[in-house]
Amino acid sequence: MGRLRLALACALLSTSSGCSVALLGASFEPPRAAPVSVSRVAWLAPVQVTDAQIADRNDLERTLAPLIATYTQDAKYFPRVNLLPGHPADGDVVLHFEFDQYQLQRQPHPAALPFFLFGLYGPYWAFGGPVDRDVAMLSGGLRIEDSAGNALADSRGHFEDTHDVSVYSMDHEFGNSMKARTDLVRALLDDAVGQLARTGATGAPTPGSGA
Amino acid sequence: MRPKGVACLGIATAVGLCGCVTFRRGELPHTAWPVAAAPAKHSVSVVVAPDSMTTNGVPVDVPIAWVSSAGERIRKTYADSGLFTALLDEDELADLRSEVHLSQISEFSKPLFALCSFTGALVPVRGVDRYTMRTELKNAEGDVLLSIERSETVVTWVQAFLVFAVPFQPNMPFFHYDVNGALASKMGFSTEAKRLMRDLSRATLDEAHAKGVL
Repeated sequence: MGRLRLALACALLSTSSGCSVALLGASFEPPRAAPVSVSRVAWLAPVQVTDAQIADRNDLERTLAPLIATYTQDAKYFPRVNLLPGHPADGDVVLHFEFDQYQLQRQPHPAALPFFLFGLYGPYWAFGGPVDRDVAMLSGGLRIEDSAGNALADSRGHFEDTHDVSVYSMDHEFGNSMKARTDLVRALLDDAVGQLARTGATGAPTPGSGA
Repeated sequence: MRPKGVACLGIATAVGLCGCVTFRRGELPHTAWPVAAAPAKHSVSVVVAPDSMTTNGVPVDVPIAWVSSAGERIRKTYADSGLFTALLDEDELADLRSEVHLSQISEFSKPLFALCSFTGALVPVRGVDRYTMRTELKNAEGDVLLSIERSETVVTWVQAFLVFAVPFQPNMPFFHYDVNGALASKMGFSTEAKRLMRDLSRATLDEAHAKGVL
């Protein structure tokens, strides 16, 4: 058990096979304080992932929902964020996140190719690399509705992040698309919550439902 | 690479994967199981989320398969507890919602790890993983009824010749690493990690029951 053995297994297998796989994750970077906040209780509807290239979309959707709720609450966009199903009160808002692209692709690093072609990857890896290049591509949208289902704000965004991977970094074993994911969700929230605040639909704190 | 070299590398890989011993520090109290003493009154849905995962202080983008494997084991423990009238899916409205936040803090020496890798696990290396399960029990209105935190630390030693110690570990299956299962299914949980999730869930439910919430 433990990451040590996982890392060792990956290192040994990738040494013997000369390749590695970037795993799809769902984590977020630590939140920054929200530029605008709304004093209403928010409910997060089940997250939708419509990217047809994802095999286990249900698992991804189930994992993303509580993480987005935690991120949104910790960044203080809303005083409290609950997961649906539940009983939203009048004045609460419902957040609908949808991702139509959710990809992390690993490619051999161009600088590493000549070493691999001539069978010199051993000495190359002794210095760490970079051996791979990870490209994270995410796009999606956020729609905010009131508890009756009327649309209050809508936002869409697309983010890409390309970074090199060294054989000694943890990204080599697990892949890492946290930055693009966090950037996308933060941009969607900034925009949609900003729209909500500008339209004056900030509402009043619901009695008994504050943070 | 010559066939002999490939064979040597294969053997080194196999030995390196098997030459591990893992033990817990025993921070979890003994839990009588199943907990149920009174008739169950509430249905429950369980949501599992990785709170924070770090390796040597660096945040890790937790693989979906890891969360799914943990969630599967946690839900099974809830279902087996006898404390609930029904275990519902996350998209169904239950009397109680259990939000389970998992964190794992892993520490090991990177230089030793590199040496261990390059020598086919001849140089030993030790890793320490601290697992924490923070559970919030909420009602349908989203109010937190109870928050419980349970932790356990797991120590792993990797060294090729520890393969001979593997059968003598208490409560451990012979093969820790189900290469065909866990690794090939993209880093799902190993059997013993699932057992740890089970025991953390049991300790949590035991405490919730003792405090009269369930």
